[in-house]
Amino acid sequence: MTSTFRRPTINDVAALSGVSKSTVSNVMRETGTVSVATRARVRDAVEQLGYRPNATARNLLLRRTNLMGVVVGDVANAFDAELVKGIERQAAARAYTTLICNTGGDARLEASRIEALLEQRVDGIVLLDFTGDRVVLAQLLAERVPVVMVSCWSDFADCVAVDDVIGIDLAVRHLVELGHERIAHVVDPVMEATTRRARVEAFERAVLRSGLPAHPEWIVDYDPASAEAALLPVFRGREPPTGIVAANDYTAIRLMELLERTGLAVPEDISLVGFDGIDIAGLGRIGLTTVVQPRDTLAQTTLELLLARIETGYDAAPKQYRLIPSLVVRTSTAPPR
Amino acid sequence: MNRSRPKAPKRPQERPAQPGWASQRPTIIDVANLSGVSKSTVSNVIQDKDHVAETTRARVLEAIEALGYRPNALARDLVRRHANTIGVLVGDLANTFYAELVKLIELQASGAGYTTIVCNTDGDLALERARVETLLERLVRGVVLLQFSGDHVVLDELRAARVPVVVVSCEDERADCVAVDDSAGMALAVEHLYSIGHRSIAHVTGPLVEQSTRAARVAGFERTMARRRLHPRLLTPDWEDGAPEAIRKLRKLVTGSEGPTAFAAANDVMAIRLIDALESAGLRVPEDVSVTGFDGIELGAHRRISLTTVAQPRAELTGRAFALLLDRIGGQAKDGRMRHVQLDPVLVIRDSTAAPRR
Repeated sequence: MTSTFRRPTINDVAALSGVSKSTVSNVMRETGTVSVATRARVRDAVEQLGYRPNATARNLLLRRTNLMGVVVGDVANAFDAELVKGIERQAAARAYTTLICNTGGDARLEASRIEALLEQRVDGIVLLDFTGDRVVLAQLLAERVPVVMVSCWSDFADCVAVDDVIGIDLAVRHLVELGHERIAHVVDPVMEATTRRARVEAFERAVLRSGLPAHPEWIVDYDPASAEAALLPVFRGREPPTGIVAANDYTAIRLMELLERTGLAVPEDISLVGFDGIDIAGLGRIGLTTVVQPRDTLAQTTLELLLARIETGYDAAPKQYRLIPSLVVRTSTAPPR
Repeated sequence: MNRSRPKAPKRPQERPAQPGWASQRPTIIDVANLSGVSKSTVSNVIQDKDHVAETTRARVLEAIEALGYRPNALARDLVRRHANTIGVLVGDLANTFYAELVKLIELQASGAGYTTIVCNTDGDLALERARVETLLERLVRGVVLLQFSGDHVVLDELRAARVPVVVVSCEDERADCVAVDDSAGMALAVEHLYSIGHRSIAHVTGPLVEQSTRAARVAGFERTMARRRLHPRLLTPDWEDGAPEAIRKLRKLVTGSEGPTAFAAANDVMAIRLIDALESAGLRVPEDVSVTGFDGIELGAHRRISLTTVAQPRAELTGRAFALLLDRIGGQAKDGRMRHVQLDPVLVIRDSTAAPRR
């Protein structure tokens, strides 16, 4: 390391002010008996050198780092970005710094990022995305690092998520009430696995409950690379679906683009419902009917749960909260032709 | 460090139980006990020093594996006086342009063995100062500023702490920077509007646009308008939350005889919100008024938005920036001379611009 980048240490302060290290330490921590003159001399030296008492040293003593890991699937998905922003803001208000890791929904990346967070000795981890890899979760539980899953789910951990069954049910019922009988579900493969599965199951059940025939071939993945080849046969076949429940807004908005690029108009030819309630869904030109998650409540409940775990440890059974979503009807849905 | 430690340290199990979990993680002492070597031998193995016998090394590694011991990053940081973390300051994570940049930087940082600390400032000076202070306390190896208020106190603090800094997608002469030529980019947008017949063009900008970026894009706008002998009009949006009064005012402005026939917005998010406001005021884009953006976010390419914009090469921005930062961290780059990399923006013409009606 070059000397250029050497940060001033307590030794430098002690040398410059002509006192011992422990006197400097006493001044910094405002403990012990230090004369006013000495105190002033030390403060001058601190100022002059730009010395900064070290959070790392303090934390080593406290066995706390005030660091919080946030594992996110895709910050380019506005819902994740908006939620992370909310968590970061609330964490900062409680003197926690957030380490943000993006996994792209990849189990290997997820494991390595969590490993990195553990090396940083984070006090707790918020998972916005969880590939469902039991090994990773088992490791976290073995390390006894408090974990809260937000907008994803595991029976073994503290969780805060919207009720996917109610949400998907709202979406399906809305389409059924408009007169749709052929409804498809488009899945985002990058979306967190437990939520993805929960929404697929909720969709299958909601369709059955509405007395409509099951069409397993109408539950399809949206993969940007192969979307056209995979989706067009479904929506251009004979007696195609007239309504779509997308797994999230990000997918719905990209799907809207794909459908319209290939000559299917929304909502004239096909109705589209999203899930999440991201800001851009509300733009007049997008006008996406969607299931809105209470984002601020999600972020706040997550923080409170995690801080409680950090304070008291893992004695109690997992705490799990299901929040109730609501449907916002815009212009992407209409009666079928 | 305290070297007068008692010869026989208490076994970790005998420590009083503490709330929280850090205390229950295996320590170097547990590894030493299990493998039957001293703590310093364990430490040598972890630091990969060569003077440890192969058999001893194997025994220690086995014990580490068995116990799930993880060298304490805190203690290591304290010795090295830095952490393997990179700080990233971002103005608005909900703006997908920045979210995309953060994603790319995080990818590069983790590739180089760093964990990323992301701080959101909302373009607020007080928040920016507070977050930089936090990053310094955390002993970050380097800081990437994706949004910078231009506050000299922040840069002075970083410099005094000798923490390498790189400024991305904005400019500051006191730091290494990688940015597109914002002024030239804005000139591309204005020249495009001019070439299809617009003579009354307004520039829309606001506080969520990073300060030096804002200044450079304003300068590019004014210079191009002056070259074309046109009056440069600047507007700050008050229509973004859709207040009826602001929407009415916008309509009056555009339909007035001297009203702008085109808007060159300072970024894509502002352009898209402006289109939304114009349309809720009963005006059509591009038939009644043209709009251009800046950045090249994914949403701008959506058919329903189809925004004419000045695109920035995101992957190249972050790639060059991280390379500069690593140079500084590694000490290859001399402290005094700041390096400024300027990339070329590209005009992408879509459907939000057309010839004016009058």
